[in-house]
Amino acid sequence: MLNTRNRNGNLDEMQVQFRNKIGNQCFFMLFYSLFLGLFLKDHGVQWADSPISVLIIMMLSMGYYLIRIVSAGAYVGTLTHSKKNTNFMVGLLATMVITIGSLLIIFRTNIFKESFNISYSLVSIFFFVFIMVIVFSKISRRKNNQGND
Amino acid sequence: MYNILDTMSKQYYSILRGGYVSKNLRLKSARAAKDMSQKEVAEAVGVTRQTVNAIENGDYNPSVWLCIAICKALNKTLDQIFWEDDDNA
Repeated sequence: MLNTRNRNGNLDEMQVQFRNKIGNQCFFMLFYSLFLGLFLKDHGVQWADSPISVLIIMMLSMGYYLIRIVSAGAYVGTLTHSKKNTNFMVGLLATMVITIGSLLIIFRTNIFKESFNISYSLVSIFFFVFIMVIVFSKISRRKNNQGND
Repeated sequence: MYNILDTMSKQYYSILRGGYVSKNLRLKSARAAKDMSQKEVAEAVGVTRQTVNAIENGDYNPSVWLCIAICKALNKTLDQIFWEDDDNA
């Protein structure tokens, strides 16, 4: 077996190349989108307030990155069955903790209006992230390891 | 004229995707000779089936380490599977 897993998780070399390529594209997409947002704001076009517009651009870039790496089959790599479930659960837990932590920080800084129902939206987003992670993992794993020769 | 432009654009697109590589039929035949599926080769080598499929179709140029691992899994030498010359293209 190739000894590339320590540095790159469980992704093989082609998946790492795909991730790097897509990551670079998404970085430049994010970079130019933010610049375009600043340019438009200076010329009188303001489609959202400053923190929210940045947040939306970041979310769009991240969503595009996620869709591209899933379609390229570089979302999950190769793992033995004993490690697969443990690593998946740890990743899922970390994703949820980071998401909820980020949302708490956003809500505490009063970016959104006071009338917004925080507990309801947090639970909704929690389940949405949970379901999306499971769905994307299943799709990507099936794309990687199944099919005809 | 159209054919030349079409060929050039296909080659340019292939280079952009990581190099112009032809299909590796010798890998496919060696795998078939050992009666192994792409999935079995992928598991033996430690990559995904998609990667083995991409190598066979010439869509991905593998590293030397991956080439060696594939050759070991199939009991072949690098020359037998990956070397290309006029007689063995």
